[in-house]
Amino acid sequence: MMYLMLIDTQEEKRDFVRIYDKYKYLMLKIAMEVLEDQFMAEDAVHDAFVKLADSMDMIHEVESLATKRYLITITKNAAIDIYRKREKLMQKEMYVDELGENVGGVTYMESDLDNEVLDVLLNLPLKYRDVFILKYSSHMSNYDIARTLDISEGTVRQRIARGKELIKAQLEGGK
Amino acid sequence: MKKIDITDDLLYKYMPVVDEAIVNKVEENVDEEYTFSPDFKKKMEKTIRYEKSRHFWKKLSKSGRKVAIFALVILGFTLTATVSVQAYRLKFFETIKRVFDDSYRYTYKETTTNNDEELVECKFGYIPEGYELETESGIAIVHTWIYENAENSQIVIDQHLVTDSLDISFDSEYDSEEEFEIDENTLKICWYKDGTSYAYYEYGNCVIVMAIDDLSSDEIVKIAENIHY
Repeated sequence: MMYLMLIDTQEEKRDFVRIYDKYKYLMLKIAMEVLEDQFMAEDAVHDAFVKLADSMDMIHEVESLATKRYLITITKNAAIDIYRKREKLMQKEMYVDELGENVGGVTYMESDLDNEVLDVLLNLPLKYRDVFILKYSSHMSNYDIARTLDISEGTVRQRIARGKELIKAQLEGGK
Repeated sequence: MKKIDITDDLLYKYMPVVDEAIVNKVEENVDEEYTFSPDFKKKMEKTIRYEKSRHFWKKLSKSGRKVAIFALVILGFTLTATVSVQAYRLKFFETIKRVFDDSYRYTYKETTTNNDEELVECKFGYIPEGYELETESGIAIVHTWIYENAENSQIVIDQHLVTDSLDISFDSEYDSEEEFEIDENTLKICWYKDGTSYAYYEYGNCVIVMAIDDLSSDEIVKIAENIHY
């Protein structure tokens, strides 16, 4: 008979705690860019961690691009939720579609890829770009993307299809 | 006009580069000197404890080891603040409860002189349908049964012979609790938001502790009601 005592020693810190220690400032920055209010931004960060606590199965390595992307995504969504509630209270029009990461002045690490293609992908409307990043960079299934973005799987599939059309149109010199 | 095929292969090749570029940009100028508010820190401590509890129950359920891992308890033991001490008397022993920040502990004092020195294993007149006994093991003062169903949900039952050296600690960061009176003894069930629970029941000169993945309170009560020697 053995009692397993879970003690949070320095040597065996759980991934959740490591993520909190490492990324809380990054997540706060994301939330601040949407909300421009530190207390609301803190609420958004906390909401994101609550979501993360229920979805730690999405995390494979603490220090990875996929983890950072996931945290950025859920924080941004948490911030947008708070933004919507605030704007509704203030009876303001809501333009949330383009709230998100500032894409100005990025530098691509790979030099042998077509920059024109990279720029088109970078400048996709956020609702398509977020889905594309989660699918083609983080390798999430449509189900997991839907769970992360709080949308239906049908919407995920639609955005992938529509996003591909937009990319093709852009690259072929269309609209 | 050039024709381009937007294939998944192309997107798998290009999107990580875009993703990395965006993340690198976002990571610039992060203020790591920021001081989070006390309110945020307090809420996060609670969330960290909640996640720890979820993590623990997931490990127990998915553990392929059929060992008597009971591990109800203590997530981050803090002995710094004893909030209260309660003592109450039962037939064979006195149970003393000590409460800490995120846990509580029962210790026992035998009140009779004719307690059996060896544990007499109890029997279960009722185990929910679909559950099969996977493992049974025991030593002189404790016996463990692990039942499991086809969905890998477990019921882990420990029977402890109460002695003065017995000391059981429990997580107090559960979300709700229920109590039921069974033959003048109290069955306490502590629930977590994800549907897992643990139950505590004093039976004769023993203590029964159950760790449960997925049962209703009716089922747990029925197990306790049908324990016998």
